[in-house]
Amino acid sequence: MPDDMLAGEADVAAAIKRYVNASVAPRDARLVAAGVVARRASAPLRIRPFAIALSAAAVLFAVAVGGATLLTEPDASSPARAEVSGLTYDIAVARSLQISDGELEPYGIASAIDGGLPYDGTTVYAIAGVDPHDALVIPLRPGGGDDVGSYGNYALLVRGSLADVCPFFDPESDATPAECR
Amino acid sequence: MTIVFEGVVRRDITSFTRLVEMFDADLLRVAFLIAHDREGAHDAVQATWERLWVKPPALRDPTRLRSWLLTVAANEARQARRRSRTRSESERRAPEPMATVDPAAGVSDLDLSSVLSRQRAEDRELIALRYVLDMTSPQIAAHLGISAEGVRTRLRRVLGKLREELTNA
Repeated sequence: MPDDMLAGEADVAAAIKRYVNASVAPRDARLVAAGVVARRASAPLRIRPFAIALSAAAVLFAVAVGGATLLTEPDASSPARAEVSGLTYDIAVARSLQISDGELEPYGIASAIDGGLPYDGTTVYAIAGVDPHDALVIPLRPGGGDDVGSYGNYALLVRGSLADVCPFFDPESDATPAECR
Repeated sequence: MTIVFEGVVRRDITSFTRLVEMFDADLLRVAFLIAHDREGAHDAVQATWERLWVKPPALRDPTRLRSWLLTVAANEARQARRRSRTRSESERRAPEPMATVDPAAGVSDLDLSSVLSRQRAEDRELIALRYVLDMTSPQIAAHLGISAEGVRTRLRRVLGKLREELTNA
């Protein structure tokens, strides 16, 4: 038991621990590890094309780049971009992204960022389990949105595969890419 | 931990097996509480291990690997829980608790299963970290990225809710 128990916590704690321990049996680590290695050896890592739902607002419009739909500025041919630690990322609206604070770790500062979204500061964050060279997030100020809906809490900074970001999307939202539902 | 993690990065199966040995049971129990479904828990932990093997995280501090594993497993378990809600009741392999009673608490597993299934996923994660992994408030705070006082406040609320619902069960 943790040594900072609250009053009345011990009996509930004991019951829950006993219930969980009785519900899931320990496994043979060698079999688990061998199964993972064998499964991944026969199934090459898929880089899934990724489409992010975007607004049709007058200020921003989209171009398709490598399967991902990104932001761009009016009268520009290139996607909206941000620079972090010398690397350039494309910026994408991700309305149904669901990430808690505990899943984010400060990664750096966006030294150059455009796209016209209501960014909340310039600190960008790495997502737990996602290679920061593939994707990062930057917080957005609350209340931002367009005729499609709210922009959400974060914009995505995209540089590589987004396969690992899929678990952070709401699988039941219409704004979630089909590959992630 | 650093040496074992570096072994996994180099795709050394022995190191990977060692990590599974160290953390699989904890991940499975946390995932079970969050997904509240044995099959979902196994799927969540399987996905977690596959992610580690295929693309190890770029951790500046390898001692944070346990926290990373718990975070990924919790996310996967939440996804599993959402997916299971779309399946029919007959298809779900819900936990089959024995109708036993904990003599210390007077709580039956059946009641506990029912009460736990009604809690929010975030609260079930907190319950798992606290009561299954025996993490202290500061440890939970460091893992979730919130204050220790915030953890204690949430724990008091969750505990109060659990006790009330178990009394009424």
